[in-house]
Amino acid sequence: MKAEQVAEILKTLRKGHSYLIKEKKPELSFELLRLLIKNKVESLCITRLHPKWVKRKYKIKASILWLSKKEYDYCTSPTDPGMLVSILEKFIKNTKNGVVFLEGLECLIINNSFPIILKVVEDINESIMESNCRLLLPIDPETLDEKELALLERNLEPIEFEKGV
Amino acid sequence: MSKLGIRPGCSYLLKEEEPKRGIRYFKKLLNLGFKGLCITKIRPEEVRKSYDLKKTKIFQLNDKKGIGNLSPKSPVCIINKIEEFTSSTRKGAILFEGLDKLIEENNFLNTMSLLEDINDTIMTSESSLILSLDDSKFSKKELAFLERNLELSLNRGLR
Repeated sequence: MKAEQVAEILKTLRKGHSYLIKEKKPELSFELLRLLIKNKVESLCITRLHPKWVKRKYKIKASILWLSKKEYDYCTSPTDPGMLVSILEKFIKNTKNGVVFLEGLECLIINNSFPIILKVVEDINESIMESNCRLLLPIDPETLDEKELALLERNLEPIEFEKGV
Repeated sequence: MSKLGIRPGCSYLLKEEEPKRGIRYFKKLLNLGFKGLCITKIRPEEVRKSYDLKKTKIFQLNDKKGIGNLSPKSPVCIINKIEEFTSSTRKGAILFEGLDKLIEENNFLNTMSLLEDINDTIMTSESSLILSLDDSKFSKKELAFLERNLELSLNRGLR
């Protein structure tokens, strides 16, 4: 059931589109990313989970940037959304068939504020629309107010996995 | 992974009214050879006496000056204490209890930022963190923030 749903959703993902994936933990979102990578889609994965866990748990074979204030070369700080946008835009501009996976919106909101991060998402979405990439943005909707969720959904296409999957 | 299902480098959220199960997990880990660090709002003497923790480092979240105290108004001191412990310990267990007190002093978002930093320190270490909290003191949205990055498997019961 889980594999079927993920496979169905995978077929609907289109270049130039941004998707808000609503789930408690980003389990199926990572599965979507894994399948896209398997299908030779170039990826940029930015996540709150340490890269070693992502590789081990979700079998992601791609470069991963850790959204963390730690100062390793594989980190990008959640307190610097400008740097984050710059990294994403560089990838989007230079990739012919790509996926941007941005997991950790909650962390970005904690470290900045919702309006700042909404603007960041809107900027990334505009770049995505003019590109050959897709954006996957997993989020637990319960971490947002109704209004915040509605503002995000205004520009992104929501994906919700069936409960109990 | 330990016999209790606790992985090094992982942070666990344990929902309970009082930190009894948290302390039991912590004690079992110490019995398995883990080095321990306990940060709590309960008086250390009380924790030592009730749970027979003679040698474990216990710090109280308290504004008073003293060797065994950590001010809840100073998140930097708390993260420093945890980093000091994880960098000098190969197999460590940290019990953290008193998040509600930190939120009282620093507000929810600043405390979440501190918790994210602590979680990052744990992820790059060989230690594990058990965060014991009374979920009835948190809103649905606050709990969702907490649950996003912390493991919930300990809530299934002490193995």
